[in-house]
Amino acid sequence: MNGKVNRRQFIKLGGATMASFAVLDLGFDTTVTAAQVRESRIKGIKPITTVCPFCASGCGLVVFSETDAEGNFVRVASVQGDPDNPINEGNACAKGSAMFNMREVYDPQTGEQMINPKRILKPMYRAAGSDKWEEKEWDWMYEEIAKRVKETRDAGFTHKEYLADGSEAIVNRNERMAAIGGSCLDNEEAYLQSKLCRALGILYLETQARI
Amino acid sequence: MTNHMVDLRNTDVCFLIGSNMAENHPIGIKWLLKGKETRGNTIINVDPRYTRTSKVADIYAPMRSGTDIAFMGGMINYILQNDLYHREYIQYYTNAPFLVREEYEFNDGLFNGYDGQTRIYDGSTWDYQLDGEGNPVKDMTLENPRSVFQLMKEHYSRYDIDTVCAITGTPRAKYLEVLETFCATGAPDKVGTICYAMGTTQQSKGSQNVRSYAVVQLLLGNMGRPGGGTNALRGENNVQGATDYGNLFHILPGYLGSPVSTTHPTYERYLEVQTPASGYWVNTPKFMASLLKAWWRDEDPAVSYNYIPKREGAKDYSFMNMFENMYKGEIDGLFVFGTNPMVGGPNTNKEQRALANLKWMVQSDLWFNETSEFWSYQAFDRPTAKDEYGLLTPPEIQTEVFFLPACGVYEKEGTASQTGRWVQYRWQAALPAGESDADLYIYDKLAKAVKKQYEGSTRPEDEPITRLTWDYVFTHDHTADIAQVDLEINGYYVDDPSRPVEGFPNLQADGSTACGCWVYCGMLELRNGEVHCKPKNRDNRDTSVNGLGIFANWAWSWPLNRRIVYNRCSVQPDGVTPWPGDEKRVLIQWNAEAGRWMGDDVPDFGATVAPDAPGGTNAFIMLPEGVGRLFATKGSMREGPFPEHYEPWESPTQNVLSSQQVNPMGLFWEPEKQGRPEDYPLVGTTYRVVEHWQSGALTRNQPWLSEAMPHMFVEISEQLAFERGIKNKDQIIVSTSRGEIKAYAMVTKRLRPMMINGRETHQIGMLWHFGYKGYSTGDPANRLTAHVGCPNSRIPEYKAFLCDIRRA
Amino acid sequence: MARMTNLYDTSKCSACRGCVIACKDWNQLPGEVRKFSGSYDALEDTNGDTFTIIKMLEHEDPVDGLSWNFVKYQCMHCFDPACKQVCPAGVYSITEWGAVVQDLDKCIGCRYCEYGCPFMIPKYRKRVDLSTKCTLCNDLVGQEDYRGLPTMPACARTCPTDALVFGERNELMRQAEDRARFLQANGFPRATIYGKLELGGLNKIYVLTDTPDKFGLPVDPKVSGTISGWQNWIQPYAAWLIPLALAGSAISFVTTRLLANKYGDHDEAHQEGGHE
Repeated sequence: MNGKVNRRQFIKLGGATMASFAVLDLGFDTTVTAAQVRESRIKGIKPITTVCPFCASGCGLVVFSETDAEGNFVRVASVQGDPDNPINEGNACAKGSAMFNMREVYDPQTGEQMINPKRILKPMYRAAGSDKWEEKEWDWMYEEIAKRVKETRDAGFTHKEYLADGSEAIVNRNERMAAIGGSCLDNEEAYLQSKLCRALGILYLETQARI
Repeated sequence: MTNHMVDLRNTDVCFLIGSNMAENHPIGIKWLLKGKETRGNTIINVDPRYTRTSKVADIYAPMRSGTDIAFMGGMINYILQNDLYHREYIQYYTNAPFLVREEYEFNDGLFNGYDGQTRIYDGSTWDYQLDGEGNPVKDMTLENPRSVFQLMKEHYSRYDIDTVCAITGTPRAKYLEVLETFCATGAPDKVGTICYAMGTTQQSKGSQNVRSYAVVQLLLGNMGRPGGGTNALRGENNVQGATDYGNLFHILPGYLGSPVSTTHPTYERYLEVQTPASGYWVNTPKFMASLLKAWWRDEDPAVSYNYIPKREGAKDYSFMNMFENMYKGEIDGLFVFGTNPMVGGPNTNKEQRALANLKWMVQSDLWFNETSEFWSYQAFDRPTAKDEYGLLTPPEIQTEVFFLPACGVYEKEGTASQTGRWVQYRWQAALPAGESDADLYIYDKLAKAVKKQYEGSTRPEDEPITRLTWDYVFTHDHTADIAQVDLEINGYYVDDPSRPVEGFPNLQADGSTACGCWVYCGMLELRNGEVHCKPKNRDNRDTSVNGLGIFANWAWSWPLNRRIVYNRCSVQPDGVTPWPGDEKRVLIQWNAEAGRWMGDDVPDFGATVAPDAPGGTNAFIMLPEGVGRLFATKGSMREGPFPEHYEPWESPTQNVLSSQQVNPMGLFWEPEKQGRPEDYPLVGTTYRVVEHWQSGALTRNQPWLSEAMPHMFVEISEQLAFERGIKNKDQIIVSTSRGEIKAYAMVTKRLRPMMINGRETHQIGMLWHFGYKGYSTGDPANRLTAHVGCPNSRIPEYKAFLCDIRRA
Repeated sequence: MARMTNLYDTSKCSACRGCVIACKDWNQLPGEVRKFSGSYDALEDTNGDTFTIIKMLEHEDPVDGLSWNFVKYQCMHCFDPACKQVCPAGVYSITEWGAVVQDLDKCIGCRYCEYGCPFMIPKYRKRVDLSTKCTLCNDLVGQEDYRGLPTMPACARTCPTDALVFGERNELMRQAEDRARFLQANGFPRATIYGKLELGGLNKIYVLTDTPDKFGLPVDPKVSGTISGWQNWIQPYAAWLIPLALAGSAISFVTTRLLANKYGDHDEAHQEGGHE
């Protein structure tokens, strides 16, 4: 590669007409018809199957990941339709085909592969009245959130209610808190969301099916 | 979906209405085009705009946004007037022959039982006539004037072709072509499918839109058969699962109703009220007891029932009212898990202002989206100074925001339920980026942190938390961690907690089984002493005899791996004879020798109930009467037993079918903000493109997709552009009574003015994917939409509103 | 090895653009937001980091009414490629199965290939000073996937509707002709094929539901006489005819001016994205 760059720099010095020197330099090859076989860059990688996270068609995707000599994950090489999945038989639309970008991108300035710079890689906190984010540790986040949950729940909690007939009903209602989302999560996560929110007494619980 | 994606290839005619399949479910087009080669099917597309779907369709007909019921009512009328219905099917598999009580009537847009003050129907008299033994009275000749069939015929006689076309704006010849083509599937050897999506549901009568499709499908005998069905193409990869697990205010996991204090004060009352006399829901006590054991294993269900929060009377906890109440300051804390309401919610100007009233918000997502940064300067940047709900600056917003970086779909593991109810497994293929983590672990750590806060509490009101069964031992070995939760979802025996329950018929009401979601029971099985997760099944051979694409050994589908629901309808009432000329699309048949139903699919029916036994033709087992409802009884549809056309909340015209302008029970929060055609003469609608997804959070942060569709635009017809002096690529302002947005004008031939009730009417359309974050940015279209909704589903009316445009 | 190629059937394309993105994934191409194009075609042309695009062209006919013609656009892999003829650096060659491929180590970024191509396909990639284009996924053809099955170009592999298939050209040509006849009898009387005879044969076959001009394809593509002359007369002497670089400049002058006027130059300007 370096040799090439040097040669190219040389050509650039002379501008367009200098191209002819390059012609001389490299020589014309009018006979090349043999295949310039390059090897597939995922050769030897066994892909891992997943399911597309966009629409609900449920197309299978295969993720080819590069690993180091010890088998540790290094980076994603390509994401493609799963050829074995009967729903999509290896096909993928624009969104499914773009799943590489969910994690990694090629920089338009340099062409280098890197983690998608839009991904948030650390827990972040915005203080009341602030106009910026601050990086925090996970443990700090969980503890602070749990404190807010307890404070809010306990302050606005309705344990019992008297019904019209004078009888008492336990209602365990936490109406000062709400939760939305879940439709882009896995089943196990959606289940834990439902379980946790109900245990907290949340009634304002809504997933994207509603909107 | 009642059927599934691959099954689309088995249809003779596919009717796409309220769905832009080529953009939003592109793989569906794959199967339709395969079917075109093998069966020579016909694809019909009805849509306000000519879309990518219209391009691949054989017939395209335009329709004004928000007029589905008029369109379908005309089709019902056409079927009934021309005897195109599948007679034997509706006699045995629907309530067409049932006689309706004398009190039921319909007059000028209103059914009986309406209270104009409260705007609520009492639907108790919308019911069948009963004989001495309490069984519905039927007239199998369908001649009795009180039969559902005759009442329906009378109801829809008003939907003649000219009236319908005046309402919908569909050219008459095109409308007739649609009617002739689709109604031909009433022939016993033909099957048609209707596919719909949010174009249908996001209206103030969205549920009745869906019903109007279901009614047509029942009349034509298209339900429960391969290539048929009423197929909701769901929008998010696991919205099916999130719904199955009860992440909606009105349901618990497995579609068990969420309790209301007045109706269900105790466990006993809950079971009494929620358990019908017949139909599959007679098992409610088994499902509910098992759910309660999964959540509070060490308590008796009668006690732990009290831990579940009880709704207050008729209080509305749904998305729109949640934000209304947040706007009023009634809510302090909000969890946002992988959703972006500041782009996706209706009336986002108001909803953004509502978020500023929170004390704290917790969000998990892969990226900062418009919801994460609702407090930023950019969030309150508007094309003009006008804002109906007040503009704020960060110092004025006291909400603390906790952002938890979530990892992406292939950086973790789990199952997802696609639109045809197939539950498929996702394996981990990459490490989470940075410190991002799976939502599974986020919930786990949150729950444990909260439990820690309540540690040692003996207060009875804290019992739901202190007694909560939350003993997962997660080690970031994704496969093992997911297996723990899957066992709880599938169900286990309380006295043998490692043994999965084999299927929901094995669930018990006595507390001896725990099951987090009964419809998923049977997802696991013991194989050689090991728990096997069937969603991991990857045998992709077609298991059907006639190549119907059943794939019973690929993944697993709920319920009980059934692939096409109501499949009892795929064979004649005698249970043996295929529908004439349709021998290859039989899914199950009665085998008298074996004494059970057998075939390609798992019977959606009592496995050993013979066709001539009582209930032997009750193909719709989830309903007490066992047959498909052409007539929805007892207020099960809140605004009436038959779908009736009303105009959208904001409409450019008068309802010509009755003096009821809008849905009598529609949900309207801000009546003063109802736009009038004098001020806002254009019909507006919103939609998506294949290059983006929903609120764009996942796609606008991806360079390839952003490059492929980089800007917010509004599509307008050449005629409207000419009238307003707007050129292609101009920046324009779109305004409604709720707000304004700036966007590029895309002048196109694919939208045209329509003749609506004799007046030329313009419709414009815009993407709703955009916001100010990400690589590709633009104003959110939902700053224009209203808090208006369907009374059954409470889904917002995004799809039809009044607006105006001007050059920016 | 027989000629292998893609058959693209416009009647089956739903413009899902899976091929556009799968190409980017496989060929490791960055994406970038550009200014509003005024239509669904945000990518109006190929560029140094975009080897294939789907154009969506609205066409209104007084008799047939509105049609929305989708067409995939990329290197046509001509039997006798002009790019190969004009390239002064010997970058281009043809594989034994018919793909026109580049040895980018040799490319000097002169852009003659772009201006010489009758379809204006090769494009300049500024950051590395090279001209690039579709390779027909040369690195995937003739190989096996992880299941031991033959692999094919990323675009054909991902196409959900079989609008794009890959195979032996003779067989696909027969299919294409059958398909065109079928379409002619079923609502598309002007349906035709493209790529059989154009420029003496393209290693890409199209089934079009209408005449090529309705899809933005040149009806009778031609390689300019100057370029043909370059190959026939000059190449044999190229190794020692230094002053001929001047001729290269002349071609460059003519084609650059003509094409810049006609299409604008998409690659030079690093256009700003975002909302204005």
